[in-house]
Amino acid sequence: MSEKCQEVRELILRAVVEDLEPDLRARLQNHLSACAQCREEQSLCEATHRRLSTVEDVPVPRHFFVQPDAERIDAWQALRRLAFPWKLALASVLAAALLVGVLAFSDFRFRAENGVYAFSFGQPLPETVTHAKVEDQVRAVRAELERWVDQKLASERQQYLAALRAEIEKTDGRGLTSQQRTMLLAALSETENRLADRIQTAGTVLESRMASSVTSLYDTIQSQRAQDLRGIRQTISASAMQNEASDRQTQEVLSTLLEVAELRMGGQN
Amino acid sequence: MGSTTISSKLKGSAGLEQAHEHSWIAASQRGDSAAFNRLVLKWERSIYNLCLRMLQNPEDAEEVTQEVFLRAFRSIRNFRENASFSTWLYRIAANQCLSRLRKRDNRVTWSIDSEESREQIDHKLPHQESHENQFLQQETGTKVREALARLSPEQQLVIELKFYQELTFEEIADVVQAPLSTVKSRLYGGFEILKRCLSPRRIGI
Repeated sequence: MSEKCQEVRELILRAVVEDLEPDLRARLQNHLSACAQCREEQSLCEATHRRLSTVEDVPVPRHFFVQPDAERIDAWQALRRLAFPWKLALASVLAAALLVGVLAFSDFRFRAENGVYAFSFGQPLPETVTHAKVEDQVRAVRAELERWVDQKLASERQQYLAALRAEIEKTDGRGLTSQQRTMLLAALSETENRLADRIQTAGTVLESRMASSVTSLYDTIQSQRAQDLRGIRQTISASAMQNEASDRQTQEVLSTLLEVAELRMGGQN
Repeated sequence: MGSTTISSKLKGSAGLEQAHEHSWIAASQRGDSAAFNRLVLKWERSIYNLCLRMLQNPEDAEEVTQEVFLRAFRSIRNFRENASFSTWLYRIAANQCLSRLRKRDNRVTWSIDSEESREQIDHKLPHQESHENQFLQQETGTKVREALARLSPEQQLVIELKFYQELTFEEIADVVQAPLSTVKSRLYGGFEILKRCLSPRRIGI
């Protein structure tokens, strides 16, 4: 079969189904008049076409009318007509959809990491807890506790010193001379500075040691405080002795002041 | 002059029929089942024979034809007035047949799988011819059905719509919702297979 015959075969098929333009039909006729092989092919195609028509339409075995109520199927009826596996599948799909809806509505969050599952409703998921992190957290809590203890002591000390300063302020113009007041306030400031240094030291020590060291550190601070108070008492006594013009009222004020201080010391202990 | 008169009468008749069809469709869309049953009466033979040649089983063809008209009635509200009713109906029928064929594990053929089915169909062929001619036609018809069964469902559908329902290529493309080139390719591919299966040497004529 020549290349041209191959092309003509396609034209023969198209001619049989009447899908051929007039110019191509003329070209086909020209070729067929000169090629016996293609004429045979043409007759074969036409015979096939004729044989197809031997399968004729048959009459309908019955009419296919629809019933007046065939238009609408009740949803419940449609459900009832379903086979059991389909009903089961439908129920599963509905249940899954309901679950997904509820979870979506409640802002459900879920995470699976390293074999650990975490979920929450609306709250952020907790951070992943590992062994190393637990140790870090314990250390952080302990340090926080130590800082808190230290701050508590410091605030108590500051309260004490503030009370002392308030008592001194009350004596203004009533008993103490300006020289006495100056001396007392200077001693007080010095004490505050020392305590501040102690607190800083205590903080450093607490951070580097265990919580058990807090008690001993507190004792040290207390003894230091007692020393300071003795120093103040001596200073006040010395100044009182030096000032011959001091009268009984001044002595009483000083005594009261010291009593208050001692009472507070007692309260602390 | 005479031919012009006949032609215009025919055109007038076709136009009247078209007008009837439009009114039946409109009434069906309002839920009038009696109007729809007039459409059934008009199209049931074409649809049943399409299903019969596609499915090659009378019971299946009957069942699917009924399903086609039920589906058409239930969805006729979606039918657009400017579309062709026949194309729309053929599309429903084609989809139903293809769906049924795909469900089958093995396609039933006349002579190979079901002698009973073959007899059931053969007795329905027209009986006006002589016994000899009738016998020959039945024999050829059986061979044609066997040959049709060798095609893919898509090829078979295009052959059916072109040679038996006599649709144009454009109408077939609309029914099967495929490009024109695809339709032609299926048709020529299917025809080649039929030609080989139905050559005189093969069928012994």
